[in-house]
Amino acid sequence: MDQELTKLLEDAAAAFKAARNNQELQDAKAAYLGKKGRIGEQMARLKELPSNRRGSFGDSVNKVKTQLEEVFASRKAELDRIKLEEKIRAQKLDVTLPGLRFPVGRVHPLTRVWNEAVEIFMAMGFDVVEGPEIETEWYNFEALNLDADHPARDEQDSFYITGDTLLRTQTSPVQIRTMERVGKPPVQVIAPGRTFRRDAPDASHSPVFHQIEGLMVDKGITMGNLKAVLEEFNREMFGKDVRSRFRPDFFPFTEPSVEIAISCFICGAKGCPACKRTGWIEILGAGMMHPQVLRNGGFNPDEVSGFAFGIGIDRLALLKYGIDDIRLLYENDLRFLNQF
Amino acid sequence: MRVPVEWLKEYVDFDESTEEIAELLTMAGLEVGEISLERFGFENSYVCEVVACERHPARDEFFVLKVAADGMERIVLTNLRAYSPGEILPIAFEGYTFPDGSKLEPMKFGGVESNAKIMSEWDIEYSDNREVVLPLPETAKPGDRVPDALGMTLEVLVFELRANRGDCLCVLGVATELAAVLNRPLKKNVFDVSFEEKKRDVEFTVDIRDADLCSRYTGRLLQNIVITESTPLMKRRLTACGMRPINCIVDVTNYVMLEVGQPLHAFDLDTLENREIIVRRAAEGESIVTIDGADRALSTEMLVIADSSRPVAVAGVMGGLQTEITDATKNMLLESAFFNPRSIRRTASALDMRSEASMRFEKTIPLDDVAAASNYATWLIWKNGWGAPLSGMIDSFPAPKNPVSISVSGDKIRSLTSPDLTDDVIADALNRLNFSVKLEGGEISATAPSRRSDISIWQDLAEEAARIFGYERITSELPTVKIRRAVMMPNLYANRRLRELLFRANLSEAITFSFTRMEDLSKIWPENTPAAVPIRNPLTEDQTHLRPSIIPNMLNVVAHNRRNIGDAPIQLFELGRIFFNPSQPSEKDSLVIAVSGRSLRTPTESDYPLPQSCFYTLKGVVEQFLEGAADQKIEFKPVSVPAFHPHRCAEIIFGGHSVGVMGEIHPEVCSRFEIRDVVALAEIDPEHIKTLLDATPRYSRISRHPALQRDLSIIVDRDVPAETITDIIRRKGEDLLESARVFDVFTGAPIDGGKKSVSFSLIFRHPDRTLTDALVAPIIENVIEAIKIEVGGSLRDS
Ligand SMILES: [Zn+2]
Repeated sequence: MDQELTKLLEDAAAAFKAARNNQELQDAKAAYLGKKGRIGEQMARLKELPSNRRGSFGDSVNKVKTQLEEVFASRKAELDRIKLEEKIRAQKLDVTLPGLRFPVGRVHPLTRVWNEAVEIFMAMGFDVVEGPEIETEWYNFEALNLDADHPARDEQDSFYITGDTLLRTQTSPVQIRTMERVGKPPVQVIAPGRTFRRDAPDASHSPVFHQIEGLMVDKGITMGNLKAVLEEFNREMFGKDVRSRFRPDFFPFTEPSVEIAISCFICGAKGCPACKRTGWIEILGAGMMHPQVLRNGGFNPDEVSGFAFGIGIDRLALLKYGIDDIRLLYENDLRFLNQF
Repeated sequence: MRVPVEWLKEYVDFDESTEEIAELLTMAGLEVGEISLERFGFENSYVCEVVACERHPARDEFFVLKVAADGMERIVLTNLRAYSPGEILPIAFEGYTFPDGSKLEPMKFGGVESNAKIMSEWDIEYSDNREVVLPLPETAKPGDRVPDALGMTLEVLVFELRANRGDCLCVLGVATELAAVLNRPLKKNVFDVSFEEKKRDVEFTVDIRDADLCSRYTGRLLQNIVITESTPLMKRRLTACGMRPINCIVDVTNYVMLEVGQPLHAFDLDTLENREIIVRRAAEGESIVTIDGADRALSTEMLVIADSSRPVAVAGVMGGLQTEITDATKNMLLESAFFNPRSIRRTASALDMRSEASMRFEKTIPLDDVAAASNYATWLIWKNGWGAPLSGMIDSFPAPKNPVSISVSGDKIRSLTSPDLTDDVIADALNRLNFSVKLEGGEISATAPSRRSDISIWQDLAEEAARIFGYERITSELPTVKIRRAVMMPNLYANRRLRELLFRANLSEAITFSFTRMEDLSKIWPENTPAAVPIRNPLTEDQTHLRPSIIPNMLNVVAHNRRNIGDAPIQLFELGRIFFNPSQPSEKDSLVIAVSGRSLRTPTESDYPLPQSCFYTLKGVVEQFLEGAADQKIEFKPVSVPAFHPHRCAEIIFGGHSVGVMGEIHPEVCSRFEIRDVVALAEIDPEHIKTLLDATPRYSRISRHPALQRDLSIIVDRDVPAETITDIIRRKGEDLLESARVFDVFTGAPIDGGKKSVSFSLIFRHPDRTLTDALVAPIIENVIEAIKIEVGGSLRDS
């Protein structure tokens, strides 16, 4: 290779390496490899050479050109890499800044236990129904053996709307409505919903609260059935080791009537403030449907029997999540809601 | 209702602890809420030990004692005698209340200060002797409280009785239950009494005019009444049961009521005009001054006891002041009667006078024991020398009641309860409860004791048998049913699905009361305030109406949280019932979504933090929610709706149906709720959305060919809605346009004042081949041309 070519190769390589950015590299490329560049000039020299030397000179120029293209490509890659590194450096983030969050949708504790209870009963074959919140005295009281002078009416001080309509004090009116709608046995439903009593609010009372009514009517439904179904519910709701206690109670719409407590799952029935040191927590009322209630729903108590029960959803939520004041459920403080 | 254990022991023998008795009764249906210990005052009195005894430095006849109990030391002065260390004495401490009401206070005597006193018999009303030291039993130990050491503490069972067991509102009723539970006999028949009667020489008549309200009325005359205090036993038990001892006659009437459940009333016979009793409804305009001194107007539904000229008692509720027993009473009439429970309940609640008597009458007292209870009370008065009974009790019993007999097969009872209740188990339980029972070929015939007026149908027998057998012992058995799929009512199911979608749209659930007040409604809608269904008897002033909208409650929730969590984001929904049409109240579901506070989006660090629009956040949330609900077109049309910002409000149209409105709440409304931040809120009627839920999705083919993206920035008048331009793009974009979306809106220099620049991102794609610029370029030209013609827009930078 002649000296001129060798020099060109060295100069060009140096120029490429000296380029600090793509523009300089492109300029250098144009100066050497461009149409009017130094390699081009050498190619022009070709015509001036004797023909016997043209072949080898041409080979040399091409070789230099190829070599230069390689040098260029490697420098370009190098510059690209440097550029990317700079860019990445410039993109540095303060990773300690707070993460970008959308508020997560939280399920209200009442809805949580509501859904949980509904699932347990559906798995045992109970349909899920609902009824109106504005009720007539007939459905809310009279059809359930609670006539105007019944002493038990005292415990259910009601909000009245018009003459004989009121906000239902319990979900039990759905018992009658369901029997009327279904018309014949079997009836196996639960009716979750909102209920109202004229109670001044305190830590355990709220004028608005929620219940789940349950009802199973068929031939030969017994108290033994009632016990088994509600024991199953209590275990599913509060844990496998929870025991259920059944004792007599009084409700005008059931006969016999039952009060059901669960062994305290907080202290393992040893006694704690939650169970008032008794080891037991009263959780629901139930009983065998009173024959008059069956009749009021259009059923013949000589042919079928049934059990009914009522569960306070708010109370379930308070117990299950350790909430100590029912009013928190209706205040909707996000510091509260965000815990569920 | 309170029952002292010692009183129960007069009826039933038991060695079981009080706790065990309480548990047994509770499990049989008489719930014992608490076991209370009654010490009848005597607070601040302790059994003490003498620690030291010295003669008084100044007064020779006195001794100065140092006494101690449980680490408490006191100084006592006495002139009785010298005591040796180790002797045990009953000592009253500072604050002890003496029978005359005075309290023990520290005193100084001859330079020595004392702060306690040796107790005398008088100090505990044991006798009148103030000099004799109260004797302590040998079991007394230092530190014991004096009443405990003397066995003067009464254990009292406090019952929380159910409304049906009027027969158990007394010692006898509870004892009967206890005997049945323990399967032991009742020891005594309280009604088995006899006394001397003087011949009645005075005329006396009872006339029941309103027999529907008074099934039985008895009157016993007594002479030579001595008004004094009753016995310590009576006073103790009355006090333990929560009643105040008054005098021997009143105490007897109360004592008998507590023991057998029959309320009694004593009249001063000489104050009754014409010596007659008329049981009748009050006349129009009549009134009576009751023993509490209140002048009470009576209504014609109320039953009164009257003499020939005026009412002398509100029957079964409260006596009259003018005819009550006084210290001057010489002759008396003892009333024992049965009044209609409903009538008593209504009267007591109308007069707002719930008494121990009315509480028992309204739960039905045992009709058959009315006369027997009167005789028992008469016997108590006679035996104690407080009066002399005259012969011939007047017993007006217009309609005696037949005993209730029920026949039922054992099978029937078992079909309601459990196979555990064999015929023998049933018969045994009923026998123990004093039913008279006949068991013949599987048929059980039982006659209820007359005290049990709650028994009327065979199911009552089933309950009696089950509770004496023990609910706990009944075998649990899951019902056998044909398998069927449990279903949820469509509306409940829809609500559940909507909630899931709302949670997925990053909303938390709020649950508020169904109430509101007109003031809140008019804060939101000062004009055309919506009609709300009023509650006839609201509990508080802020809960006077049923909510016609969830918005007021939601704004209150936002305000509450703003006060508590600063400007942290609020994204809430409530799905619940609203109420409308006051003349014919109806209810339906409504949905409200609220968004407030800053949320942050930070593309680069230098933009941090960047406030994001409340309106568009809500809009995004609503869109996400609706998209989840169904594959339907979602449109937002500018509207002006009261309560909303007039220029930041849109009607929500879903699948061609208007389903609600959304927008920022008018700043004036916010300030009325004391919310300083921007609140965006959507009110949605969920009914139409519910009908669209859960459509089965159909797959549409995805092209495997690359997309071609073109961004267009259009300069246009500010008033032109972006959606209008998007519509033009979609129309002109033809089949190849896959989507067109706004990604930026810019106003300000260098854009002309009345204009804005809206940037769109257009994605083109061909289902079957790769697109080229050449194919897309003419489409874009068409789009730009149409924008120019239809809305006067032009391409930015061109
Ligand atoms: Zn516990």
